[in-house]
Amino acid sequence: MIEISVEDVKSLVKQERSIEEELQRAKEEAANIVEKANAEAKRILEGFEDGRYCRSMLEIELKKIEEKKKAVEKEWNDAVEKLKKMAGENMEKAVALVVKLVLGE
Amino acid sequence: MESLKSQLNLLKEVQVKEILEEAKDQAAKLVKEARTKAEQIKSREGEEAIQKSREIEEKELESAIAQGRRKETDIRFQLVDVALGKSLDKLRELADRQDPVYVNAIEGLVVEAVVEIAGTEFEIMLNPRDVALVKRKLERIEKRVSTIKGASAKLKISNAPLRSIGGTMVRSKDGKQIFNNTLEARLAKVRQEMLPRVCDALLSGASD
Repeated sequence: MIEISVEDVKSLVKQERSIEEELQRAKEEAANIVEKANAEAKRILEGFEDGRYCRSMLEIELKKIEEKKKAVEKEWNDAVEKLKKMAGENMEKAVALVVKLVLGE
Repeated sequence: MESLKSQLNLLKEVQVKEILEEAKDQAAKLVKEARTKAEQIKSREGEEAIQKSREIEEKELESAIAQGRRKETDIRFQLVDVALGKSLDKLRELADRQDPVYVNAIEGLVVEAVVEIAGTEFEIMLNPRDVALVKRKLERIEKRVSTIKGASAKLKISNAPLRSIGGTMVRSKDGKQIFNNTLEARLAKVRQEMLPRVCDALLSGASD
């Protein structure tokens, strides 16, 4: 048989309240931790779930393709300029050949 | 009493610890799942993007090459056209000033045309500018034609003027056979049959 005084009961009630408050704080802290984790997860997935990652990768690749395309176009333009230059240099000779062919070699 | 209080405190600490650890575990799980999902998307979409970009690249580069090739071919034709245009001007100039090159050539052009037509009597059509020139050579031309044909050929210069920069058009006496050996016709033949040779001289530096 334990004898409990009124003071003891009061003290126990006080401790009980204190424990409940602490547990409540712990629950709030736990909720905060989970909330932060959710935010972090959202941040990690940002750009992946809405297709932005794919689009941005594609954009990078398209830029590379555009550069390659420009290089190809330049190559052909250079070839055309070379032809024009060559034709300028050889025009007289070509005309002489045609005249010779027309008038009979 | 103190023991009871101490036990209550211990129990509380265990509960607090459990609550927080459970939250931390849940948080770690959430972040891990997000990272895994992000990696999966990254891998899948990355591959898709690369595959798609390869298809685009192939299409775009093929188109650029085809366009370039077309442009180059067009320029080749344009340049050859320029050369043929200049050649026509040159031929006109040689004929107009009765350059020795043209004077020597006209005889051959008439002979060639006459030889192409069957028969022994022919009419030669000329640019009025060339009539006197060919008249002077007519006897010689007749001899050459007769030798080639193995029969005596008779040539007559037509009174009808030929609308041409030079050369000749020859027809048989009955008018049923005609051979066009004008400079324009010969130039067209060069364009049709000897274009690679002209192209070569103009665009590859090959000499003739």
